[in-house]
Amino acid sequence: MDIPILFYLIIVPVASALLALIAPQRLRAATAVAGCTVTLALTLALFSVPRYFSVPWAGTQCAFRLDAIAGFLLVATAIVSVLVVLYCIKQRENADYCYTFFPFLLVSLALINGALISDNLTMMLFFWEGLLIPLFGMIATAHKDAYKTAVKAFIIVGVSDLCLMFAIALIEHSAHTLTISQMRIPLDGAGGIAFIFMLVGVIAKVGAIPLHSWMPDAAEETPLALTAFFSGSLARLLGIYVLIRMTTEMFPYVLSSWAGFLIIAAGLATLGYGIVMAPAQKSPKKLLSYISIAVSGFFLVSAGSIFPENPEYAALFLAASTIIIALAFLAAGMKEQLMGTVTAALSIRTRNRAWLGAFHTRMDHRRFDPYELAMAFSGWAAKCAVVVDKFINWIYDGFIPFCAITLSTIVRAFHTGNYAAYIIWSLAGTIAVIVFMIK
Amino acid sequence: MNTQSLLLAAVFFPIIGSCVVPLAGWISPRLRNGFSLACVLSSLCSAVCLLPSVFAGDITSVSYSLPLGFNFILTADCLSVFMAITASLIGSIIVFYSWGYINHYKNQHEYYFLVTLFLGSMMGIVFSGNLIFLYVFWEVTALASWRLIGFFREKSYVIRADKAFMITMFGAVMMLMGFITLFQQTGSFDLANIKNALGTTPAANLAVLLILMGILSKSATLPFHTWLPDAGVAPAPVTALLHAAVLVKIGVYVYARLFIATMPIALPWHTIIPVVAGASALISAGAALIETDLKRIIAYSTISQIGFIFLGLSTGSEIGIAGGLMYILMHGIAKGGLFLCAGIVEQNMHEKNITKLGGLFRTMPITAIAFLLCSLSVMGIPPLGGFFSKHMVISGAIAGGHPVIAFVFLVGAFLTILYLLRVFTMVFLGDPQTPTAEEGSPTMVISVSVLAMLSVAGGLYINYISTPIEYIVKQMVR
Repeated sequence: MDIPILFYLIIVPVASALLALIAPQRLRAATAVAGCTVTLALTLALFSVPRYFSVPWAGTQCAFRLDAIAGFLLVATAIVSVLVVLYCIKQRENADYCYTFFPFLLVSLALINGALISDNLTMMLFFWEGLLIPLFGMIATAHKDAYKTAVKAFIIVGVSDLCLMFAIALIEHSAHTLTISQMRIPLDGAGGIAFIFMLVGVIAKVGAIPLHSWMPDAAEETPLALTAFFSGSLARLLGIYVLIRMTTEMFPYVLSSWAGFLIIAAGLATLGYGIVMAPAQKSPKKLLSYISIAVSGFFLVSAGSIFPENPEYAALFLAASTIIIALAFLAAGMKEQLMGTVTAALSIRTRNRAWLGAFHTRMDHRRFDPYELAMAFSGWAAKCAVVVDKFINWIYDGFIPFCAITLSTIVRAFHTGNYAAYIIWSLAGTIAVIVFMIK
Repeated sequence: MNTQSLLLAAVFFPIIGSCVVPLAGWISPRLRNGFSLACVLSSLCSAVCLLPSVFAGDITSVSYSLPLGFNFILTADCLSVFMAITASLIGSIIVFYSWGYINHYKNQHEYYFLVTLFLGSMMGIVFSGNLIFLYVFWEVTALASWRLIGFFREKSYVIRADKAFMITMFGAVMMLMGFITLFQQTGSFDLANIKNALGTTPAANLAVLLILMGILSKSATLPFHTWLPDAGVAPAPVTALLHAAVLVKIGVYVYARLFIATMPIALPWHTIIPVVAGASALISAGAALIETDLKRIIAYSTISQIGFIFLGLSTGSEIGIAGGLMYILMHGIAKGGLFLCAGIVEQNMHEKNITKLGGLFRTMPITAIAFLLCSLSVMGIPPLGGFFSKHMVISGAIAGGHPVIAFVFLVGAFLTILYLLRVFTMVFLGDPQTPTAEEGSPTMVISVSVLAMLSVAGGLYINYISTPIEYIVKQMVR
């Protein structure tokens, strides 16, 4: 049987997960490292050549593709997986959890890869919704009472999947195809309703309000490895990836319609909410989680304004920021280990800049320091570095990128002629920032 | 064996064999158990052996002319063979499970006799090509289920069995009147003759209404649903048979056989039936959400999921019909697994109230994982088989021009996630409420594991299921 090479992006992690499941505990980590590393090597090897093929599946032709957008994100996903596995091995606390975590992580990696290479909506939903099972497992096995948070996450994300299922059925009915790259759906009637349901699905996945509440809880209840791997980074990556596909291919008229405004509105609301809530947190895990929610808002705004014009650049930016956010969580985990309890560390000051500043001073000797990584990016690609630099700045000073976004939305407003709506939302967001600063 | 012999064997081996089961029991309980399983497996093997012929386009028929138009006709086409395999596969696993379950109780000869007769009658319904004999087999299943629901002989249980019998009997009588009305319109009880006589003319609305009452009562759909949760007092394998594999599926099968494969129905029915199914799905899901009895929750879940099957079959689109048929298979497997898991919990813990259970994952890990996998399939989570059936049913509803009804079912699907997660977490996670017990007997644990694995395999190997189902649908709507 001739297996298309892209399928190895799914087969390798799944096989590693099965091996990790049956392997003795001492070999489980090695299996996970091997699985993630081989997957990373595969993503790098496949990255340079665009690929497209389709296979008969469940009564239809299911298309798969690897283009620049999917390529960047596959590499980022694999890098995050490798880093998280290495972190789990290095970290001595929660060792038992990490060993049960590996099979779930590898299955998640396979499913994320599957969703990223799917050019068929049903197939993408299959992989994306399939993530519910490892997500539930990863949260529920954290400790005895973590199942309550797992149930909450399952329900919220499950609802989003049902919304996606409904949207896909509407799209199939109106577009007569499920192949993403062949879709051009007008935003009227069934197309508009499908767009709204897809957006609700994406909002829940990326942790945007009002479907965000499972993320801080999951961050609080589980070791940071999970937050770094999924709820803090890759969930958003997948959600924004789908949004990029939506705005560039499926619904190409988004920018000049109410739909673009809807995305930006959801993004600004999420960004403002995250920024306001973050400093109010006593737990650094929750603080980071709210920062992560704010980042989701930032990406939503970008996806509704800037990303559709340059999707490859957006994917690169998304990939870079995903790695950085994952590293921030992992670094916080290391700090937690260094200082005993993070709450004690946080009691120095509650403002996130102070906390992250202290964390930065103490973590200088650690290799995966966000600041160092930003510098590395600076030497690698100037365009990306500017963005990454801003991104890092934003983590330190939440309002700076917010102002940039405000500016960009105003520019966008002049560009599209839709002045009032954009400016109103920008002002609302700015007020939220002022509230944050006063606090 | 030729195909006609296979067809006769599929129906009569378990029916005649059921009479031999008590005799075998007097010789040896093991012989009785093995013989009962062999009877059900013979149906499964016969149906599997019929597959090549029906998928080659041949329709096997056995016919004996009787007076007054009561011709005894058995017909094997793609739909009937699919349904026979589904019912006998799940039935076989349930009988195997019974080996470990029922040996704690009295009247085992009667139990195996009734279960085997029940499954044989189901084969009769599935292959019947004449409405009168369909009705006869239908009533035999009603009698067997009445006795099985009241199997433990307690007064309150017998009352519930009587209730189930009376509701399904009422529906059956209505259905018989519908058959007679149809006879007046077409001049025949034979399905092939009815199909030829009607052509593209819709069946009389009165006949449809009366037959529908029978179907809804058997498949426990609103407003005839109340007997099913009460039937949870039966032994666990029986509830699995009633709720998952056989009894409630009779209704949806007859719907597919009559109103899709045999006769067209007037257009309004394509809206009325999904609306009724939607109401049934939502109300029963709400009931499942507040219920605390483990088996009653799963029973309400069955009522809710049957609504999804009706939605798929009634919307008129090919993808919806395919989704409905796939739902019958996937739901049967997963729900069978849920009831059998509930049986293990009930037998070992002597408790069905989920508020008094908890923390069983530690002592019953295999049962817990099987329960979780089957629950995920019923919820429609990939990669389990239930995902595809749910997706196809929702797509079918929208393709059939019912987006609002599809949305209502989406709410039903959300409630499904809520109540099944609630059951799983309250029974298997958290702190133990009472002293916990160990896993069930090996046959019971193997049975639930097989059903859980079939739920997973149903999703991973969906190609092997979707392709034949597409063929079945094409043959049905031709």
